[in-house]
Amino acid sequence: MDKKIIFLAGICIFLLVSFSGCTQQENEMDPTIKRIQDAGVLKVGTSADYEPLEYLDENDNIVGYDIDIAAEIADELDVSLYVINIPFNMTDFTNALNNGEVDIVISAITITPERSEQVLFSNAYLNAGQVIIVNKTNQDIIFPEDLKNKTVGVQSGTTSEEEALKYTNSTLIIGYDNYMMARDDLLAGLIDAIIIDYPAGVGLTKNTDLKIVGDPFTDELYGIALKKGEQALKIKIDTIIASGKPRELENEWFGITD
Amino acid sequence: MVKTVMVVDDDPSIIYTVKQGLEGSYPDYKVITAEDGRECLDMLGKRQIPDIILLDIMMPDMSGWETLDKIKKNPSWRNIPVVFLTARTDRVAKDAGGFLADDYIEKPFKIPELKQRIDKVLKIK
Amino acid sequence: MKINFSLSIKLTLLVLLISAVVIFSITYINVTEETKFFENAYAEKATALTQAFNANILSRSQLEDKSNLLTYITKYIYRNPEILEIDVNLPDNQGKLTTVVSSNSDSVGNSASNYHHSSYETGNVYRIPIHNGDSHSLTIVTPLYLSGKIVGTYDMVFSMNKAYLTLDDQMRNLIILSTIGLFLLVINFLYALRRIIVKPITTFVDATKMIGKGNLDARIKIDSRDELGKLASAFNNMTDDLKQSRAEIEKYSKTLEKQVSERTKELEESKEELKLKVEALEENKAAMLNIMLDLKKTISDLEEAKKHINIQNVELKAAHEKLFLLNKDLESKVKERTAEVENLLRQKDEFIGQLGHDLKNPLTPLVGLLPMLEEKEKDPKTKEHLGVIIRNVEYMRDLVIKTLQLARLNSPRTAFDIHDINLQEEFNNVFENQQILLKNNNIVVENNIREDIFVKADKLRLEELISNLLANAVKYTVDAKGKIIVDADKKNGIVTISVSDTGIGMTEDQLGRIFDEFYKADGSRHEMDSSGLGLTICKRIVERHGGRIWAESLGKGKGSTIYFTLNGGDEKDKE
Repeated sequence: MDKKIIFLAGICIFLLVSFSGCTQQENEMDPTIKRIQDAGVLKVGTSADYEPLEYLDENDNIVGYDIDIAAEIADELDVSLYVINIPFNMTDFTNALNNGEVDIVISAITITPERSEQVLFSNAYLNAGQVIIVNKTNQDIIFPEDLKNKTVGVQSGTTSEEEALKYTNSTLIIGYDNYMMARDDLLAGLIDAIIIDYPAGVGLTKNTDLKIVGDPFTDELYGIALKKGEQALKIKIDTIIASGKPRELENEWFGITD
Repeated sequence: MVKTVMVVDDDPSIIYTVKQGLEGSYPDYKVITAEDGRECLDMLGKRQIPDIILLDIMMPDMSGWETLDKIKKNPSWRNIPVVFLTARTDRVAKDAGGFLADDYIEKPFKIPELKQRIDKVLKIK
Repeated sequence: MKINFSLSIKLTLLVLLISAVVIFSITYINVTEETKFFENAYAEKATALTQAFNANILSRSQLEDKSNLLTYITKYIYRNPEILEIDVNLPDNQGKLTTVVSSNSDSVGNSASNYHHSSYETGNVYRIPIHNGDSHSLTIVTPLYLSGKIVGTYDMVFSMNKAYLTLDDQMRNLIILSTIGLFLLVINFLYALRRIIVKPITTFVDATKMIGKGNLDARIKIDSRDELGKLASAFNNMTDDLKQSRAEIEKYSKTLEKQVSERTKELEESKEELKLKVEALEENKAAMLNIMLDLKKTISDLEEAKKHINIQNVELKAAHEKLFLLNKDLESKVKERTAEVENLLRQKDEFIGQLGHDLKNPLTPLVGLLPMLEEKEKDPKTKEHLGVIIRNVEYMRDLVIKTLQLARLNSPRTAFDIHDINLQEEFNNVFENQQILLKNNNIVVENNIREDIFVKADKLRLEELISNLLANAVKYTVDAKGKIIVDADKKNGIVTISVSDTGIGMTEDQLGRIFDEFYKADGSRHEMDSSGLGLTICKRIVERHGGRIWAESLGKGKGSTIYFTLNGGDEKDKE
């Protein structure tokens, strides 16, 4: 008698579970996502020269905050990650996206209208404002206004460059290919200050005699670049961003040191 | 106060005795007479209403019973006290005397006796 | 086990069904409610965010600075992760709303939807939920205000995925949990069912079977106080009773057996006796035969005698009839005679009545007028003559009245009408009627009779009696200040009345004779106007009432008392 009852109950449970399963509906596959999943790999472009967001570690692996975010995206799509190093150049980035060399580009790219015309941006995943970096010994420069008549080093073609122009003479602005070179000059005293994104600034000043002065004085909203029209992928990425994953990673990568 | 007594009897001697006896001995008594029931009723009809009627039972034509009956039936006369004068001493007369009439007196009677009986009945009335 | 199966299955299925329905309903309602609630809450929040967005757009220049606006939008999204996308729409050269700035650059240049146009015109805010497979979003379309005027529209797309997924999870969890719960409930229920109902019932069935097989020691052990427990104890009691009954039956049956064997023994003994008796009877049989022969002879003798009797019977009948006829004859003769006698008596009474009338009427003038004459007469001699006449007239009157009275009393036809009469009253009546007599003779009467004494008597006769006694007493009390006292005493239903006077009294000799007819106390005194019948009449009246009358006197000059008795009466039948 007991067996019969257990059998009956078992049937009920089975029915219920399958019923609840019905609440899920089938997804219609977006072609891009389908392609990525079929390939089993997400191709990510980045300019690995911007610690701590994307840089090469001692084993020449491309690592960083941005890479971790990319990894999240790959996880979500249930594929593996493949990172391609592309020097920072929006045009290069755009071409890589458009010809399918990469699926996404994540490289501390500030969202601007001009760039938006070339690529499709995800929602901002990080607000990395500009900060001023000076020698630890420097007491003069605290606010952007203090940069007047000072020499400022920036990475060429970046918003940092644009900001520098607001506060000092263009003649006093030195454009570098990368921030490592600017750092060296600052340490040498050849320039007075560097203007750089906050996260990069953290990386830059790590284990050096340089310091970040004050708070970020601008808004720098980073977005992930996609080929224009990739709405489904954008939504997937936006969802991940909205879930708060980048914030978690922030703590890991940008916790204040020294 | 004058007491009017009507005596009804078919024997003239009786009438004579009563009239002479009462009126002779007692000045406040006046006696009117009738020789039979019919005459009695006539007189009553002519408003000759006495204070008391002495009625003989044994009379020819209309007997004392009949006369009494007629008297009692008339609302104007019914309250006149009636005393039977009776020579009959049988049960019927005496009973009736007791019931129907107010009293009875047996013949022969002495005049004072008669007066006493009349007074008794009138007093009761 | 068959019982278990049906009961348990039925109840379990019922419980399952009810619980499942309840749980599913609750779950469903919960989920839909939560969804609605969530959507609403979300919509509220979204609207708030939407409005806050507008608050920061202060000037047209801000609007026209696309870079700035984009930054603003991007930052706004960054700060509020629920927002997926923001589009700002402004009218183009043709006045058509187009997306000029958007967090999604693909949207730039798109024409705004009808919602936007409607919002632009009416200022309404629209909430549009969109469910696309796994993704759930909410779009809010709002007019864009600048200095109080609507210059365009913007919309915000909010992601509700997280919550929906949570809801789905919740629902699934709930269903699973409730199913497990249901399952456990069922198990427990079954267990309880088994323990509380099924097991006891099984116990019952087993016990009943045992009893059926004759084992009356089986008892059901159920400890609970519920209906089953009660049933069990009732059952046990019944079994106890059964056991007891059976024991009694056995006992009784044993007793019966014993009795049966006793009776059988007795029967055997009787049988022996009977045998002996039968032998004796056989002997008697012979004797009987002889007797029978004798009987036969006697019968024939009797037959003859019977014949004789019949003949005599017939003769008797004839004689009887003769007698009967004689009787009838006699009866009719008697009737005739009686009728004749009655007739004669009636005639006699009529005659007396008529006689009375005829005698009394002429006496009236004499009685009435003579005294008047005597009174008025001046001449002594004439007066003397009149006196003599009056006395004789009185005598005649008395004689006539009394004789008639006596005749009536002697007549068997005269009926007495007996009633209960108040003695005191009756005496007073007579005294009143005889006032003149008493006054003339200076006699005082004293009535000592109590008012509660009643006698059974004929009223008129009693009156006559009293009148005569009074007249008698007056007659023999002629001296001044004479007194007559009447009294009565009731004892054992008999009333004894006394009438005493202070008169001349009587001698022994006189006492016995006064009641005789025509007896006068003093024969020579013929002036007395009495007939001598008065007391005779009294005697007749008293005797006809069943009483006694006698006289007593203390001697000459010492007054006399007449006593008489009557039956006592009650007030009830008062005349």
